[in-house]
Amino acid sequence: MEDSDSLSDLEMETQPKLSFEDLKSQLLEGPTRIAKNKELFKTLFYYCKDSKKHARIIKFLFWPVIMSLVQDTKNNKISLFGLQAFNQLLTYEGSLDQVIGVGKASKLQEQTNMQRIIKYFKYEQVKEDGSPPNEQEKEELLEENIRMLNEFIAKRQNPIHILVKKIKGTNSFQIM
Amino acid sequence: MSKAIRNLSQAEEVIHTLQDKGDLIDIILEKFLAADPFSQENLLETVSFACKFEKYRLAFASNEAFIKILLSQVQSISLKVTYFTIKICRQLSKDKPNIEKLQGDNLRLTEKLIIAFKWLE
Repeated sequence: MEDSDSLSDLEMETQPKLSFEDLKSQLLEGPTRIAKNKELFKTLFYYCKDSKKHARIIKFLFWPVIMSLVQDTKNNKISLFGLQAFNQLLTYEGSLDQVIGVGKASKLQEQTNMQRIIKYFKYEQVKEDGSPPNEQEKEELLEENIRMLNEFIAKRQNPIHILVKKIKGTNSFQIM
Repeated sequence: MSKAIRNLSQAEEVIHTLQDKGDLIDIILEKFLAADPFSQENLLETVSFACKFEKYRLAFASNEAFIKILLSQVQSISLKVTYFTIKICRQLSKDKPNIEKLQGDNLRLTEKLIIAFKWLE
């Protein structure tokens, strides 16, 4: 995306060539490619206007794509385009709770990747003396790891904290 | 961004997150005066959402720098900013101790409200 691009460039006059599922696959395969491909962004923005797609967009694309764009530090325009998509999701009242809830640690625990990480910790960790933990100690380690992961996620993955940090750090009235 | 914050602030837990470490007041103190009128509207509407809670009304009213910025907005180029300024003054005045803080030594609240009403005529 170039500095000369304007927000009105995001609008599509006709139905996008990519179906929502194709867009989702492409974006999940390479989340960063959207920053260089305006057509992909226009397609995403088009689907962000469809409230029936909001639940899937929020579940699959909110953190890996939309919040990544918002947090871009090199190009204000990319950040601004990400914000447009973010705000578009918030125009539908029913999506508000989903956006707030999607990054919560308790929800992430349900995801496969998170379960893998927890399992990894469970079996790989050893006691301070180098000996493997017994079953009860494994359970205690698991609980402790879940608690630490929850704390870490809650601290880092909060859209409000990210927006506040961005506002405090910007001198661009467009970003404000 | 202020629009996203304004939209998210309709949820009570977001208000608590914003107020937890005083982020909203910090943003008003650091960024408000240099922001465009549209962002100012969003920020003041967010403050207005937070003013539903007594403890946050007290926090706003007790911050003299915040009150000075707020009262300076009665003659804004944006009528919505003026509107939200008056609304927030009304919300803060729900609690008697806050009225004294808003008035200051020279009945500044009264003076500012007279200016605001003339401005809106």
